Amino acid sequence: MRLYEHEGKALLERAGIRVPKGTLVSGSAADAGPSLGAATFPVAVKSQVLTGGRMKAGGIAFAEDADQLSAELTRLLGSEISGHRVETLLVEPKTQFDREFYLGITYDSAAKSAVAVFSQAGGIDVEQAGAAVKAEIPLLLPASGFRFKELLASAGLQGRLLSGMTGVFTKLAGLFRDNDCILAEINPLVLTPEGKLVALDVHVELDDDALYRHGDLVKRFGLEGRDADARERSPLERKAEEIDSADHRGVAGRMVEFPGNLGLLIGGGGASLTAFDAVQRHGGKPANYCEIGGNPSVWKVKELTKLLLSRKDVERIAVIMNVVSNTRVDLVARGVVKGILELGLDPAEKIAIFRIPGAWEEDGFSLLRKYGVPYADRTVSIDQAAKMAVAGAGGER
Amino acid sequence: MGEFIAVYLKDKECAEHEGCRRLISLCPVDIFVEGEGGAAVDEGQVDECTLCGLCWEALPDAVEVRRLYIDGAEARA
Repeated sequence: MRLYEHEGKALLERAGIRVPKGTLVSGSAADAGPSLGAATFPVAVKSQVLTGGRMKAGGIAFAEDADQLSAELTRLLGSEISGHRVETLLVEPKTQFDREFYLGITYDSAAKSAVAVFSQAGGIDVEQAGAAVKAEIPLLLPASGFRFKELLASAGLQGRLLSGMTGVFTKLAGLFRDNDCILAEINPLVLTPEGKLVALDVHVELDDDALYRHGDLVKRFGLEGRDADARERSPLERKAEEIDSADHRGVAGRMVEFPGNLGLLIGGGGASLTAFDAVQRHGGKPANYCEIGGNPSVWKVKELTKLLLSRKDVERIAVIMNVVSNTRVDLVARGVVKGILELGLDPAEKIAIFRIPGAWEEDGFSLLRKYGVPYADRTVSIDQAAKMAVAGAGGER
Repeated sequence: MGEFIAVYLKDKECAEHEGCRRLISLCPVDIFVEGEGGAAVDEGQVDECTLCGLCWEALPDAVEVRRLYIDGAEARA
């Protein structure tokens, strides 16, 4: 889950990293008057939206005096920046600086380790600037400063700057580790004429699966119900979450709604993305994304099926997974068929295709045959199954 | 009887088995519950049966599980 800039800055401040003292503004420009009465100009006015490239998209402005500030507040509040509506602005003193740096910590799945990345060319388009240095950072124990010092020295830093930057990097690593982040980056971290290092912007993403360990953050930032892209979950998505959490066995949830008419019950990971894309490629309109895996109970699949079909515009569902070894085909088949039967509907009509090969497939296919449901085994690819689902034809019965 | 699975406890044999209640803790998906004088089948739960065989292996004369989607074939067959 990505945090807003002001939330990330609150974490930085708590970790001991210097940030500009900002004021949050929402509502209208008139509402903001009292809270900004003591503003020291010039100020930066920053849209709090969860997207990069805000400066280029016009989401960040500067004001030299109260009139300019008022004009920028009026312009930005309620506007759209890269498709995100601006509800809140962060107003903070404009910081003068001599140099900009980039530093970040994330996970490198190939290296199976956290990695620290540093560049002396921070700021806009840092990705294109190149010249970044990178090092694996074991985080099972609190990060040691010497690793960052080595990394920064390899990038050419020395003297007081090396020492100060090492301190900031070590604190950022502590923030990353303590809050179960998957990304924590400061861009830019600036060096002021007074020799101070100040974080002007920050991008923090938390591991959704570890949020339960951070009730303080959930409460402080109101993360409950916020989706990964900061939109509110729909009632149907919330219900899917309830179903998933009501039974510890397997996964059958993680629903995201779309305005289509083909409901999808699909396996997690790459196969679900493949299935979703394949449905679209063949002209279908998915009603949702979701994930099934880890051998969910019959009840769980049944409830998820009923939930999907409770949407009036969902005409049929496609059940597609990769070859499964840790999920039983027959149990998923039972859940889907039972859900449809409990709604008083015909599985043969409502299931566009059932393509889950793997463990207990003989039992699963026997069950589907009994109800006349079109199904496919592993000789039919996910792409072909998606095509069958969209065409409403194909598969054995 | 569920939609897909039928689990039968044969009363006579089960009554003769002192260990019939053992099924309650044995079944990983809670199909057996406390009943009058022994274990009983929770019919609302039988479709969760994973056909693991723990019940019929423990009490072969007392338990019968059938797959209704294959012409009622006995599961242990």
